[in-house]
This record gives sequence, C-alpha cells and structure tokens, in this order.
Amino acid sequence: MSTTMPDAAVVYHGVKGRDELNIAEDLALFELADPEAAVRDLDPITYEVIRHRIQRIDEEQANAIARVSGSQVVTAAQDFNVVVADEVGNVVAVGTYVLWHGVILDMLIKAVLEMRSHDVGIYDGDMFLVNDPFLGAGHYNDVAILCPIFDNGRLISWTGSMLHQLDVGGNAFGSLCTGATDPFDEPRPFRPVKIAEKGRVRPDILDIWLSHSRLPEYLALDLRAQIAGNIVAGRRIKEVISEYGSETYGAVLKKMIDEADVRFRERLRTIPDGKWRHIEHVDKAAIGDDRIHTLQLTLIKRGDRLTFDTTGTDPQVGILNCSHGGFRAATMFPILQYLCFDLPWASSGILRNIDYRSEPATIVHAEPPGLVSCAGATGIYLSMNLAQQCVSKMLLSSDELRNEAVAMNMASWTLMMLSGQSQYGAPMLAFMMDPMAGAVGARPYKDGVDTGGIIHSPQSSQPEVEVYEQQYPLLYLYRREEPDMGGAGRWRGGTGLGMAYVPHDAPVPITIQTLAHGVAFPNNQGLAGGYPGGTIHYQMQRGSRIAEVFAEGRIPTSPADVGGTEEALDFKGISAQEASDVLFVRTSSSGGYGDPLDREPERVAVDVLDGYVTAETAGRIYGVVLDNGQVDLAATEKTRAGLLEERRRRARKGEGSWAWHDA
Amino acid sequence: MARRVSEYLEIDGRRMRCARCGEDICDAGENYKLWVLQDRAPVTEVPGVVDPALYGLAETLELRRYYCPGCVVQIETEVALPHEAPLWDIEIEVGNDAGD
Repeated sequence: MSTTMPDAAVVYHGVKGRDELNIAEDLALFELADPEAAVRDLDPITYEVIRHRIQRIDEEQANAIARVSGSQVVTAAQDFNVVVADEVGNVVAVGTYVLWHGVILDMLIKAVLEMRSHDVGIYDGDMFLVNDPFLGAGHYNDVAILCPIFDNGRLISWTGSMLHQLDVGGNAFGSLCTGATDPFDEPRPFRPVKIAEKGRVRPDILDIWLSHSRLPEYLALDLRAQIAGNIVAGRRIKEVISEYGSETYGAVLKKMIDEADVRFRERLRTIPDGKWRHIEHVDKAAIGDDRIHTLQLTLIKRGDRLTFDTTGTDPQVGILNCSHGGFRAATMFPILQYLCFDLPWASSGILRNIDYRSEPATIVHAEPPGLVSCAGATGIYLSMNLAQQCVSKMLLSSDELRNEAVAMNMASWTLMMLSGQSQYGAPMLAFMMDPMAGAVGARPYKDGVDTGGIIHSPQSSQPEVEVYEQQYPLLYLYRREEPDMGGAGRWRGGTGLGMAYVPHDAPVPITIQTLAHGVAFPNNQGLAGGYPGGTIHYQMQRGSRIAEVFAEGRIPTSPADVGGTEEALDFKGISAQEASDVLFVRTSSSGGYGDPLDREPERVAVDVLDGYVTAETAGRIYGVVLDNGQVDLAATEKTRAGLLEERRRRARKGEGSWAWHDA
Repeated sequence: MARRVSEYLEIDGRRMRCARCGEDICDAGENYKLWVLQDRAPVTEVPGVVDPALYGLAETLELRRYYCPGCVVQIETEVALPHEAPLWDIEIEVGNDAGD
C-alpha cells in the first residue's frame, strides 16, 4: 500500500499484503484452515526441523545454480541469490549470497501474480522470467526466474533466484550502459514472461530471450542454472510437504514470517527513538558530466517501526539511478546483517515494520525514462551506503547493539568491463570480479577486515588470477593490499584491493569500460570520528616498457617500474587498452572508527610493519613516532600533544552555527 | 544516568555532552556539530586520497572534523560540499528510555 504526501513524496509500506494483491480468482491459493491455531499448535521441534530444512533448500538451490552456470560471475563471485516464499511471494528464507538480490524477489513474485494470473495463468510446472527494474528488479542484468509450487492444485509456495547474467543487450557489451542517454540505449526490460510451461522450457520465449544477448551461450547456461535451481528447490519443498503435510508446511512458513516480525520489533524497542542522517555525494552522473550529485537519507526510528526517508535526494540523473524496488532491497542489507544477525531472515516479516518515504523520479526512486542499467553499481550501491551509515549510527545509541555498528564498508564497485577478442579468437567479455576482495569497515571494538569480502554478499568470493588469465587475454602483475587505504581511526578500516594487469596474447585494443564513485573524493565514510578510507583510482600507463621489463626478467610492482605516460582514466567512461598499456587499479576501501589519536601506538607500529599504514600517516594522523619499527613513546606522546594543540589552533568554536559559514 | 549515543557523545537529561571528558555541548534537541570545535580541510588530508583536481570536476568536497571543546577528541568527520551546513546526523528523541 502507498500514500502520496503533499510534497509529492510517497510512503510505501515494506510489504504488500495478500489483501492488496489483485490475483485472478481462479488461481487457487493455499490457505490455512485456521491460521492462528495452526501456528499455535505447531510442534516446536517440527517447526525448527522444517525451518532449517527450508534454509538448507536455499543452500542446495544455490549450489545447483553455481554448478550449472558457466559464468565466473556466478561460479566464483556468486553474484546471485535465492529464496523460498509463501503462496503470495512473502519471502521466508533469503540465501546468504547477494542479499538485495534475494530480498527483492517478493516484489517480482507479486508482480507475476498480479500480471499473469489474469492472462496466461499460473500453473504447476510453470516458471517466469522477469528483469524489469521498474517492477522491482535491480538492473537489467539481474534476471529473476520464479517458480510456483503447487500442492493438490493449490499454489502453496514459490522459489526462485535472481542472477547477474553477463549480457542482456543494450548499447554496451555487458549491458551496464555507461554511455546511455536514452532508455532505448539500455537493454529492453522483460516484464514477466512464462519461460517454462508444464515443466518444459518454451522455445519461442527462449529464442526471443537469447536474441537480446551478445553472449547467448552464457545466457542460455545461466538460464538453465536458475531453472535447475528451481527444480531442485521445488523438489525438496514437495518432499517436505509430502512428509509433514501442507497444513504443517504452511504453518511453518507463517510462523517464520511472524517470528521475524515479532523479534525484529523487540529488537527495535531496545533502541531509543530518533533520527539518523547521512548524505552521499557522487562524483559525476554520466560520461562527460563534471558535477557532484547528492543523495540523502533520514532513518527514523519510533517505537517498533522504522522509516527510510530519502527527502533531499536529487532528481534522477544520468546513470546513477535505481528504482524504488532496488532502493528498498538495498536498505535491507544492513538491517539483515547488523540488526537481524541472529533472527530468521524471513525478510517479509521484517519488512512489515518498515516504511519508505521517497519522491518519484529521484535517484533512488527512478521512473521511466530514468536510466537504470547501471543501478547495481550506482543507485543500489549508493542506497546501501546511505542505509548502512544510518543504521550504524542508530546502533551506536543502543547499549545492547553498539558493537554491531560498522563503519562504511567498501563503498563502490570498481567496475572494469573488458571486451574484445579473446586469445582463442572468440568474442570476449570479462566482467572483472576482482573487487569482490572487498573491505570491511572498522567497528567499536576492532579493526575492519582487510580485503574482507563484500559484506552485503557473505558467500561471494574473488575469482582466482589463474582462472582469469586462462579465460581472458590478460597477464596480472599483482593483486595486493595497498597502504593507507583503510580509514584511520581508533580502529582502522579494512583496506581494499590493488591490482595491475597488461593485455597478453590477444588482438588489441581491449575496450575497457569503467564505472565507480568515490574517486574524486572519498565516500567510504568513517564512524564516530574515524576517517574515510582512500579513494578508487584507475591509472593507465600508456606506451609502457612492460615488454622490455619482462625481457629483463623483472616483475614490475609500480607504475614507475614500467614507465610510459600516466593517464588517470575517466572513472565513468570507455577507453582502449593497447598491448603496452598497463592498468593499475585501486579499489574502494572502508572507513575507520573513533579518533586515530586513541589508537594504541603498538597497533600503528604493526600496521606500518605490515604495510597497511605508511610512516608518514603514522605520524601525521596517528601521532605515532617509530624508531627502527619500534614505538618511540616519548616522541609519540609529544607528537600527539602537538596534534591536539594543532586541532585547537585550526578549529573554530561553533556557537549554534557553522562558524566557517558565518565567517 | 547518561545515555551513550555515539563513541564520544552522551545525553544526560536534556544535555548533550562529551562522553570522554563530560564537557557540556548543547541541548540534546540541537545539532551538536554547531556547538563543538569545527575544522575544515581539503579532502587530500585523508590518507590514500588522490588529488581531486586530477578529475576536473566543477566542484570539490571538503573534509570536516568536529572536536570536543573540552578534550579535543575527534567526535566525528564529514565530507561535504563547502556550502552545505553540518549534517545533523544524530537526533535522539529525549525522554525515550528504550534500552536502559
């Protein structure tokens, strides 16, 4: 349900209830004979057994997908997620992969119910394909395959997955259309279509679907992976129903949602009422843009209810946008990870207690003709940043939950989409998943995690260098952790990844598409006085001496080692890489926590020794002086006193105003 | 009893104060950033940040640091456009006793 506000903002409730759905009457939906009694009388051990089986069904489905797909995006990076849902799409179990890919599926299942129960119908053996962001998908690459599960002629459950498919059309190989200026430059959305009927893939729909892609063989394999996943999950769900009966299965699903709902509200009541805000600035909205754009979020907590209010966010612009569905799913990452870490991830139960207030046609609530093909790396990422910073600040006010707060994790995907010809003479698209190395922000009691992965996708991993070198015409110079990238603080933020590669054994040039934010300034914010992490950087050494350096038997480790002309690549752009061009990249890192002058000097010394902090930063930011790697305590004390005095000297005291503005 | 609302901030009654030294800052219903020591600097003071001039944007952001007027602990940092007011990031409704 939604309500339009006087200022054109709209308030949406987190979930659309069964009574609000327009479903064809001839579709028989499962209903518990007496829902309250069914839940009340449910044997607690049976409940736990089935609840855990459902979670394992998610896992088995995910394993099936990863084993069938031939795409590194899926098999290694695991850029997908799976769910089990009730008869009207309320999600009872989100997989532990890309969280927003799972949370989002309730909207898409409900769209299938409302759009297709009236015309083509929904029957046992059907599966539906949908990737329309304006119905709830993230961006066009994120393709959902949804499977209704019937018991004795009644629709009792759904399973499904959303998976990043490599290329689904549009004017850019890889379908993240950074150069788009018109919706028809982007892939065409598929509103729900019946891709499988009576247990068989429909060849007519399959032909249409595959014809949209430059890589139809990958698309076909990923589609089969998702279908296989649904078959596995559907079979297991039917086994549970066969073993325990539909009434028990239905009661378990209802209880999972109710339990998540109740326990989430209990948790919220441990937090004081208040508002927490964060502003996210974005460097450039499109190729050629030179402006900074603003998104704002206010998280309002009152009693046992949350509202995410995006008032203050700029109108939709360039390629920064995501749909409301994408924004809603993005906010659930810190909710699940930081607030619901020990609750059942029945996201639809949690969402009962969350409202969303946003103005249509803004960056986080795009409407046609808004461009959303890049949303997975722009609008949705920015939304996750907003939400995690607000949620973490909220948690700091709770005595029970303070230690769950996390400074901003890796705050931007560092896109590198390479295309051209492979060393095998075939069309090549390399969606480089190296940034999956990630970086986890610092916490109130410990450092962040260096290259600690993508926290909003717990099971994802970074493909191996050797796999990339085998599949693509590339030679890596290194992957490593870089100094001074983790945000400084009492607790240091985790550092991100540095990498470098050169084209190898293939026709050149290779086309490289870049897309990132947090490049011209840091957006991986610190928390409670911690500093942001370092910025992303794409640096191309044009016309380098790389061949000669290799011939001399040396392995270069820096741009200076290979020479050439230094070029900072446009971070929202398309470029070409020739045989002697070496690309050096630093991905996003994470924020620090607390005042760096509070950090124990010995920890700084260890960081310097390990290469995470330079001696210059140790002195200038941490006030730690080292002598042959050991802390010089007297000099450190003196330096820190000097830095405190420097703060007093530089700063102005606000007297109820922004002193600098008044000055 | 005071309630911690961030690493270096707490609310005692209706007053926001430094959780480290107890320095009184402001009424809890106001933006604490407007009452503390305010510092602004180029974002290049953040370690690991590349010079924004490299990218030719029409504007650039600044780093802001907020210190306790008493003990000078760094309460919060912020990256903002120069014309933006300090963001009121923590606004607790005084009187709610949840979690005590």
